[in-house]
Amino acid sequence: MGEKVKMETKNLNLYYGDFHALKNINLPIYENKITALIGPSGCGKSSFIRCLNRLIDLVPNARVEGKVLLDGKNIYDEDVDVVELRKRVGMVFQKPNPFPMSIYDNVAFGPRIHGIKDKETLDKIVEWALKKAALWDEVKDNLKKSAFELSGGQQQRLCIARAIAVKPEVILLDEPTSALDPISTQKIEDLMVELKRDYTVVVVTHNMQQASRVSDYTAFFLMGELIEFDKTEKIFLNPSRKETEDYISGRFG
Amino acid sequence: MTKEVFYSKLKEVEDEVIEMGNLCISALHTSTEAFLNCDKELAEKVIKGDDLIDIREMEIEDKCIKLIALYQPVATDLRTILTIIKIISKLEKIGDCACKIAKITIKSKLDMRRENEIIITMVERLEEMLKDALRAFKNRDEKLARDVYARDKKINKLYEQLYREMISYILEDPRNITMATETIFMAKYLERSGDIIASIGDRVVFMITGERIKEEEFEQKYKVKEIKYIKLKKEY
Repeated sequence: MGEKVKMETKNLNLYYGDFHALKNINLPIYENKITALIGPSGCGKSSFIRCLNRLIDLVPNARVEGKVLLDGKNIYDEDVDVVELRKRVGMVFQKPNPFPMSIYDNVAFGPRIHGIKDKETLDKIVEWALKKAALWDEVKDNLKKSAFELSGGQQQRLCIARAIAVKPEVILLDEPTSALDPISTQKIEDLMVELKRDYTVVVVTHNMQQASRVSDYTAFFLMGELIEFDKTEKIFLNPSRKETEDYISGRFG
Repeated sequence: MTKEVFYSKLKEVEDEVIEMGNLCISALHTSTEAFLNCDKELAEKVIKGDDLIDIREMEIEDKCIKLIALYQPVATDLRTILTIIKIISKLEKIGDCACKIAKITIKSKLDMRRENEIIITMVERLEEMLKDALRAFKNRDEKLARDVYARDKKINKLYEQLYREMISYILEDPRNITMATETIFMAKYLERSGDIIASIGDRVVFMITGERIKEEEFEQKYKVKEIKYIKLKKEY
C-alpha cells in the first residue's frame, strides 16, 4: 500500500492456557497512520494490542507464538529489554488511570524512571507533553493539583500526555474514549489525528463512527481471527468479507 | 432491536420506490395511449397524476434523510439508501417525460387515431425495462440490472428508425409536417425515458456491488484502470 511498515505481526498466536485467543495474525501497522482495531467483545483485539508491547507477559498462563516486529526486530527475542520496548510502544487504557499524585508528577513519572533528574529538563518535557495532549491551557496554573481533581476527559488527556512524555514511537490506545462524554471524545479524536504526525497510533474501539472518522486503516477481528484488514474507507464503503459488513452494519455483535 | 427497526423502515421505503416506479410505468403507458388516440381528457389525467409522483419523491427523500441521520448506515445499507435517493429522482424525471407527452397531445390540433407501430413497440419495451429495473432493485439482481442498462440501445435504434420514417413522411407531403414533428417530439421523450431507465439499472448495479457500469465504460474508453476527473481534465 506504499506506506512504511512500523510494526508487523507474523503468524502471531496467543493462548490463555488451552484457549486459543489469537489465531495466526498477520497484520502490518503503518508508520504515522492510525490503525483501528474493531470487532465484538472477546474477539481478541485488546489481547492483540497487549501483544504489541508485551503487556501480555503480565497475564498468567498467556503464551505467545510467532513474531511481532518493531522496525524489523522481533520484540519477543530474548535480548529485548521490555522496559525499553514499552518506552518505544506506549499505551493508554480504557479508563483514565492517573497515578495518585500531582498533574506534574504524573507526566514526569516516565522520564524520571528513564533517568531524567534535571528540573529544567523535566519542566520542559511536562509542558511539551501537556501541550501535545491539548491539556496545557487548562492545567498550566495548577500543575501541583492532584490528577484526580481533573474531569474524566482531562484525566484521559493527562494519561496520553504521560504516555507521550517518554517520546514513544508507537501509541496504543485501548478504547480511549469509551468512558468519556462526546465533547471529551471529540478532543481525544482530534488529538489522535494530531499525534499521528509524529507517532504511529493503534486504537481499539467499539465505536464504528470513531473508527471511520479517525483511522487510516481498519482491522476487523472476530473470534480470535483477523477477518479483514484494509484502508478504512474500503472497509466502511465496500468491505470484501460478509462478516465485516455484518459487523459494521450492526447486524451482529 | 434498533437494527430490526432500521431494516423494517428501509423495507417500507423500498416498497414505496417500487410503488412510485409503477406509477411511472402507468404514466408512460397512459400518456402514449392518449397521444395515439388524440385523447386530451386522458392526457389531462397524466398531468394530474404527476403530482402524485412528485409528492412520493419528496416523501421518500425525507425518509431516506431520516434513516441516514438516525441510524448512520454504512457499506451496503448506505449504498442502498443513496441508490434510492438517486432512483426516485430518476423516476420523477420519467414522470416529467410522460407529462411532456401529455402536453403535446393537449396542444395538438390533430383529431384522429395515429397508427404507429414503432411508438407502440418503444413504449412496450420501456415498460418492460422499467419493470425489470424495479425487479432487479427489489431482488438485488445484478445480471438483470446490467441487462436493463444494455437494452437502452434498442430503444435508441427504434427512435432513429422512427425519426427517418417521419422525415420521409414530411418529404412526401408537407401536410404531414404537424403529425410528423409531434411524433418526433413525443418519441424523443420516450427515448429520453429509456436513457433514464438504463441509468436506474446502473444505480442498481452500484447498490449491489459498489461498481458503476458507466465507470467501467469510461475505463474502457480511456483505456485506464481507474478513471479520475483530475487526470482527464489535463488531457482537455
